[in-house]
Amino acid sequence: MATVKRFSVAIDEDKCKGCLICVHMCNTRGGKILKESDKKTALGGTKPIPEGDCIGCRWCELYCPDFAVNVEEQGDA
Amino acid sequence: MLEPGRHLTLGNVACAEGALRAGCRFFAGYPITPASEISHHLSAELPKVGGVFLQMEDEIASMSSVIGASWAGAKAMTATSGPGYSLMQENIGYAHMTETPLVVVNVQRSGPSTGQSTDPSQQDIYQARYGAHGDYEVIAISPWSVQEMFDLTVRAFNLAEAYRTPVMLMSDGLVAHIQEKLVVPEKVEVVDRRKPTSKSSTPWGTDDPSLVPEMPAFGEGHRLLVTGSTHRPDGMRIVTPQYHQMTVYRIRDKILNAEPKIRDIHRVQMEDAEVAVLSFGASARPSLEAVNQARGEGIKAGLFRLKTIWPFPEEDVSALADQVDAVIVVEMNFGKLVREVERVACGRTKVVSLGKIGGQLHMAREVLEAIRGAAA
Amino acid sequence: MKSLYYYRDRYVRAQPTAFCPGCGGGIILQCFLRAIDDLGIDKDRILAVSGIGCSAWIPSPYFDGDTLHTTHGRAIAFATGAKAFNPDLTTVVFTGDGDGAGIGGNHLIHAARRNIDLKVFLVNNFSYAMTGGQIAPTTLHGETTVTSPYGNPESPFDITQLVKAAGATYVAKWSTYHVVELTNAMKEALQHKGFSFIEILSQCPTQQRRVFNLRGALESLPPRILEMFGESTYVRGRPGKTGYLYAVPKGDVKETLIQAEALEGVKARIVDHIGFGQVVRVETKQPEVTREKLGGLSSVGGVADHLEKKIEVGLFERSERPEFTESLRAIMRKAKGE
Repeated sequence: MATVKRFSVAIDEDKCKGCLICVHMCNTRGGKILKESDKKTALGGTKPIPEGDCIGCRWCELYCPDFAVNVEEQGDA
Repeated sequence: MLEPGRHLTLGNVACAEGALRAGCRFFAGYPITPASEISHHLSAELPKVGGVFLQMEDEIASMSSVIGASWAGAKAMTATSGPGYSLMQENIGYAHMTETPLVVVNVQRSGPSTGQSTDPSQQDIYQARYGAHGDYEVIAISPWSVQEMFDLTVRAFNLAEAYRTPVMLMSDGLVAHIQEKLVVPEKVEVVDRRKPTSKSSTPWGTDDPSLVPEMPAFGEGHRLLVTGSTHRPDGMRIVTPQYHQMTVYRIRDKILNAEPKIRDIHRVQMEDAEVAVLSFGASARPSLEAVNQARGEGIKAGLFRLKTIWPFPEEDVSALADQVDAVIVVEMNFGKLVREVERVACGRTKVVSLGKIGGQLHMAREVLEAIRGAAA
Repeated sequence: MKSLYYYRDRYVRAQPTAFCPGCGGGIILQCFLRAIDDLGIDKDRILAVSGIGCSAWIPSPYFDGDTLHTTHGRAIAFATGAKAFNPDLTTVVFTGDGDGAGIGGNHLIHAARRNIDLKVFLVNNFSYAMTGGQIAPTTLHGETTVTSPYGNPESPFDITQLVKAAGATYVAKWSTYHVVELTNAMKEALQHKGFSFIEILSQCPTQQRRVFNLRGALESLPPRILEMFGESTYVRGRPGKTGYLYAVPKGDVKETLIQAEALEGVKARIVDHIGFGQVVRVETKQPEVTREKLGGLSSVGGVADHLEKKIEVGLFERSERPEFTESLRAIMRKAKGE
């Protein structure tokens, strides 16, 4: 019985500069869940917020210049 | 390498032999008259002792690779002449800021520019002192014979290792290209850089009274931060006035505080001298002859030869100013070191500049006439 | 698949980095860390040398291994000394288009000629970015910069061809858009015995707004430039995605978009293209028919096919030649009479 892997994505607010590359990649290649929030990061950028289930494609990680986004496997659904 | 004992050899070869004896295991250079024989000899001898010889694409690259090798653990050296020495200055400054031990041999030739490429001069001594941008102190020593091309090269390495600093060996086209007796000793004193005893050492900070930090190398797990930018004792680039002053003043003071130990002056008949001839390197040879001739004429002359030009031995020159009625400064340039003598003497003695250009050594007669003039 | 924090905690020395938001430097650092981790190279066996400029900060101080931050243009020459003396050091060099091919060009070509085992990653952001965006050896003819207010009078050279001609035995070119291919190329370079060179087109939101004349909100620049790299390159040996054309506008690109969308059976979209600036990309099943129609539109200045004025990326050279430090070791054996 195939299982559906579940993932979580988290943004490190202290490291994120709000360059929004992750939001772009998520919405063009991934699960389309990272959105621009109205919150600011510690460094003054627009903080991305995940809304919905991460599909674990990790494009956001691969393109993050600041090691500020982290995708973790949650184990099977 | 030459066997211990007596040899008749070229100045440049003696320099290369001194380097090998001092533990030099890396040389990078670029062909330039009148320094090339140093690289010829080392290209043959270094590989025999597991050393690396590189001929690089220019003098900037030569100086760069010497610094890289030093931080990889090598005792490293380059040799050049005026035009190359000018190209090396930025990286020499980098070596000061990062406290990189290394030796630069400048076989000075007659400038400016291409000038008289095969003829000697002593015109680069201010460049040795102030060549790179920024403030720093320098150790520069000057050989007057083939024997000293050997001995002072050994000393240059030991000073570089002891104080973790570049050392300038200010030779010239004459001393480099004459053949003279060279006595190679059984053993030479070799000083090595202080290696760190723990992984948490701070390569650019120390509470050792010498102010000379321990020096790690790449590949030893220290995760080094070597940078020419202003840095903290651990190497992290932080460009505040506080760290700049802490680092740069320490780099200065580790040399100035050690000046009494670095100082190396060769005095001849100075005990009762009334007229002193102050010189260094090749120019001191006719000066010695003139002093002896003056003594023959009943003039109490003496030779005060600086083997160390920088840091300038102020204490000794100040004492000299109190002792003698006149100091004649003999040098193959417009008159450069004479300014330091004037500065230190502060009018307490007559200072005569006997500078000469044209790529020819002073004639003893020229110095003798100056002595007679000063003694009258 | 390891998470990003694995690489951060294991290899990154200090954060936040001084890079501008959205700078490519951080992405390149990540690709490098993934490459050395995948290969299991102990970070204490690595020496990362860099010159002066933004790219120099990628390893110094952010890589938690031995780093050597040198004078401008001289990283490769410094690295040569360290590597020649201790060949056991896996020696990588991070340099820029100005640092590496401008002031450092002489050392670049000679190190390639020697085929010394250095891994050189040249970050090409088409500008002297740190110092304010001056002309670089990679800036295109006619482009405006702070030192070419009337248009760049110079033309760029192709660094990868230059380095290949100089004798490098591994030469590749990628961009921060091609993160997977770049990581793989870095792994190949790290395993290659000889002068290994990768030119990496990298986004610089601060300077490339002017260099590429990108109008619009600053915040949108990082992803926008990344997409521009994707749009403006094609991979050597990999068939380009066909079936689309570029309509180069005479004036306002929006007008060209409206006219292009009016054509039936096409999908049109404004994209940034390094060679053409802002253009309308038109996807079509019948390129010839659409090209005809596009050419006729009043707002269209020209129509280009899917490969025109694109930058070729990929692998350009992989060969074997005597490696310099091995030649030095052979000399030692010969000199000792072995």
